[in-house]
Amino acid sequence: MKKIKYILVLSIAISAFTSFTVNAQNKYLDKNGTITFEASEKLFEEVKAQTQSATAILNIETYEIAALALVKGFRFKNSLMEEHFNENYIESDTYPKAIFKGKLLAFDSSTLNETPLDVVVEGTLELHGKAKDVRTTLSVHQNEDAIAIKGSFNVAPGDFDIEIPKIVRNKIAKEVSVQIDFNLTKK
Amino acid sequence: MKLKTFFTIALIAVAVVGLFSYKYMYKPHRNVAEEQITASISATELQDTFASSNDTTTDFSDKIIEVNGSITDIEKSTTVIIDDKVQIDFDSKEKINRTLSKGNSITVKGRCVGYDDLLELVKVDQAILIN
Repeated sequence: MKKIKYILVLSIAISAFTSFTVNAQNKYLDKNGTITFEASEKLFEEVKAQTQSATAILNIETYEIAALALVKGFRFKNSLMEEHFNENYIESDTYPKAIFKGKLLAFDSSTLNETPLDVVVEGTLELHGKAKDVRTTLSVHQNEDAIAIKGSFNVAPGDFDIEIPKIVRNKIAKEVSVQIDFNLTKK
Repeated sequence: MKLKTFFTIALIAVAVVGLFSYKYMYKPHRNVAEEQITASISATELQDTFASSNDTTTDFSDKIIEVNGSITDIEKSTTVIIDDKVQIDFDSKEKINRTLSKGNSITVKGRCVGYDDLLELVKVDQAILIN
């Protein structure tokens, strides 16, 4: 009787352990993801910034995806624009991060290959203390050992309670286009 | 004659105002190499200050700091991870010697961007290699 109990405990322990390690292997991540946003208006100075140190994590078992960008990591060509963006608009001292949490819909990692696949992603983007649901189509493909994810979506500053002062309102587009470019490797 | 001096003064005034506003609008980016550091700290200490505070903005964000530790991972030619706790993104102009390899002890000077709580990593960008 004791022996059976022992075997039972052992098998539970082993299965728990293996499921844990399997979980750990299902994560793909990128520490140097590129996120670019642009809100330029024609005839006015370019309003564009990019970060190359965004984080993205994809769980290929549950297809959950999370991405994080530190707001201060966004670099503009014009340093004064960068300063105003941080201090007056996005208030990066109070809200230092932009986080997206979502899920890839109708996606099967076994069908993944070199040809780009259109995958719908649905989730929530949180920045400036406000959250907004985002749904967009991403292009996903296998890049050697890595999974490459590219895509774009539009958001409006108003969605996140970011007020644009009247004097610059016509120099900044109403819709901000966000482009992402991740290359996730197995960890 | 009076009119001529008036125009000369006006022209100079416009030029001066123009020059100042141009300088203000197109001032250069921060120069990490020239700026004084606010702290010299180990990678572990740096991560602890961020991880222990609930708010991700601590005194170090957006400050120029010097960080030391040993390389635990090399992501790509311009990015290394030290002590599994701090991600260093080197300045694009910075030439990284190919001698950098895992296990090397390094000291870098850069701008602390903030704390990534998904990976529990502090990110430092525009870094230059000190040692």
